[in-house]
Amino acid sequence: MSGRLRSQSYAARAVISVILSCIVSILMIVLMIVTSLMLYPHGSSLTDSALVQRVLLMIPLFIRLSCFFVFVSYIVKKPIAVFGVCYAIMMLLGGISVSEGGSIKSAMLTGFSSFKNVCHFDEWYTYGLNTPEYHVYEPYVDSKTAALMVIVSLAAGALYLFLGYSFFHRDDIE
Amino acid sequence: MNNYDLALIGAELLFCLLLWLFAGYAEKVLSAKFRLLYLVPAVVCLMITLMAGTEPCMAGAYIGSAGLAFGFFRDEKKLRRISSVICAAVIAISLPVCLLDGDYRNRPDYLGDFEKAYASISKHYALTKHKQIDWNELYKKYRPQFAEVTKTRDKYYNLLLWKRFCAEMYDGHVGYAPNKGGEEFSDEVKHRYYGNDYGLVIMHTSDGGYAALCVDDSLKSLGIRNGTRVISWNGESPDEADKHSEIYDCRPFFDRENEDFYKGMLAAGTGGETAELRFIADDGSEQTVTLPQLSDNYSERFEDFSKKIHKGHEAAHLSVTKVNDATACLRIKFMAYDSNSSQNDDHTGMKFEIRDKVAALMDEGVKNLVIDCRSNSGGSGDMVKGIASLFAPEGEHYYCTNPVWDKDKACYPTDENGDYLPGEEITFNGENLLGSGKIILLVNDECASAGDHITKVMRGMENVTVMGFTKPAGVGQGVYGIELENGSLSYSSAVMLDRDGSIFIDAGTDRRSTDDIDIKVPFDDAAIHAIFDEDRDYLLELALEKLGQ
Repeated sequence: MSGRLRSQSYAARAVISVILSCIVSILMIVLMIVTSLMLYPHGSSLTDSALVQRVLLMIPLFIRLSCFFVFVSYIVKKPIAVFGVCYAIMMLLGGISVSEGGSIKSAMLTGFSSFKNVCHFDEWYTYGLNTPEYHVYEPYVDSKTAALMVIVSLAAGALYLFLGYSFFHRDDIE
Repeated sequence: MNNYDLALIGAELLFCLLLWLFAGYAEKVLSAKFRLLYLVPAVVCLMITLMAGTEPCMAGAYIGSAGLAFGFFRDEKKLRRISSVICAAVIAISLPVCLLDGDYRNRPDYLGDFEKAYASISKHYALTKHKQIDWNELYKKYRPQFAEVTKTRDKYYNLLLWKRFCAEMYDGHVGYAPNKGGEEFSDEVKHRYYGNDYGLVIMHTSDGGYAALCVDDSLKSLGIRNGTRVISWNGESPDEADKHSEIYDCRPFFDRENEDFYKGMLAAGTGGETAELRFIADDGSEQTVTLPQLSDNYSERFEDFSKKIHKGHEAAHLSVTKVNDATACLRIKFMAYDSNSSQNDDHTGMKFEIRDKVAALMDEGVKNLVIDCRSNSGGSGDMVKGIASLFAPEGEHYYCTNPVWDKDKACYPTDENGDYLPGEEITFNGENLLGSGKIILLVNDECASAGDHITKVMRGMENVTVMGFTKPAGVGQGVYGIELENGSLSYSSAVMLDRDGSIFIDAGTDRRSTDDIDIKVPFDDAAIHAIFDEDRDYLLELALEKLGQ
């Protein structure tokens, strides 16, 4: 790495990691959705555009998580240990997010809890006499929540990258 | 104080101390990983906040926890120690702020509740066109009021606001219930807003006048008793005085006829330290008295009046009791039987039970039946069908029509006029259990929802006469409820139609519901004396008299 700035070295690794991580994550999501659509019909509850909107909203969340994992990997360094630490944090924060009700705003505190907003569907139902209930789901995430999620996720991602660089810089000097 | 907040403050102060001590050690033993310890307070703060939720009084704790991360960026021992001390002070400030702030963890977002409820009801309310509801106008009218009550945090006034908002729809299925407080909360709201007690309730009579009811013993020396004719209250006719009541806009009358029946009922709660009553004494002369305020709680006397006028036959739900040699009374307090029948929408078991009970009484000589549905709060439409089918003459009878539902678009499609499209007709077959016997169905304005359904369904039968002081409530659509932070709102969202495609039961802009009664019993001196002086079931007595004829 001689002849290069530490920031370039860090950015090169971090950016590529984040991009690859996001691409793989989104591909996995899309693969699962396509597989389930092939096995079971789409139905009319969720429109195609709403599905695309929700999947696209996951991108900033994956960016946020990837930046966090980059930060962890610069601290822990060993791949197996990085995997273990990230998995443990995921389970801990994911468990807290699922168990607590919370509002939309408090759900933005972590990337894991933000996924709750993306996967949540506002619901309404109606019925007739001697008929089943007809459930109607709001297909889209509302624009205010979506905008807030994107802004908070990108800001948090930038913070994690900054913390990672700051640690890397000092660690490399020492 | 919240345990999470205490744990957060305690933990962060401990971190401040540990990191202060650690700063010296880190200077001697250089390692980049030691810097990570200065991020731990922020991580712990995040996790606890995720569980507890944010609170403005805890801003110091949040800022102090984030401030400790300064040690991550700067290695100097002196700077780290200074930052630890400053952060400890900032975190510690949170404790007295939380303890002294009356609004700590008590910032109900009433405006947020209104916005969420409004978004739902304006989109899914079934009778927007039928009742010509202007949602924009309602939003403009109520949003500022909810914004104001959010600032004042007056939970009682919040409930009053919701009642006013719900009353705008003239729909008994539009209602708000607060999450906390239960009956005590409800009683406190009534205490605050019903007005003062001057010793009587004023009520409209069938001859167009007004009468005093539930008269306190202290007024008897003034010549005022149950049934005394009232001319004016504080110089105004009682129906005008009504309008000064804070809860005038919350009155639960959805049909205009029912509203007219109860004219004047809030008047006797309005006034200051005293109130002026002008009445006709027993000798026929007009007299004016100044009544002192007996208490600041009109709601107790009003509730007593309401209980008496709405009282039904005192028997268990779905009991069939013999009231005279030829007549039995089936009391139906609500349209529910058991959890199994509610879940499966199958009331066969209920029909067996009622059939057995009625058959046993018919063996004893009972020929006629009074079905007492007074103050029936509603429930299952299938149970309505079950009961109606037992007593209906043989043959097919019509109940209601389900509208068409578009599965693909997930909506009720409408025609070019915006009206719902009629779909499947719901019918049932009658068993004529009583044979040649007659049935009188007793109803009142608190007989609602499925209680309205049974009235409408049975009224058309040749062997049934519907009787009461008033029509039933006039609410017939299916209900949906939405949970809010501080309560829940229910409203009509499941459409039900009549045979001609019009809305089933619920009144439109004319405020006249389509279910009615056959015999409207006059609320006169005889009724007043029977109900308020002798505590008799006047309507049941009239029903028995009618059946005896």
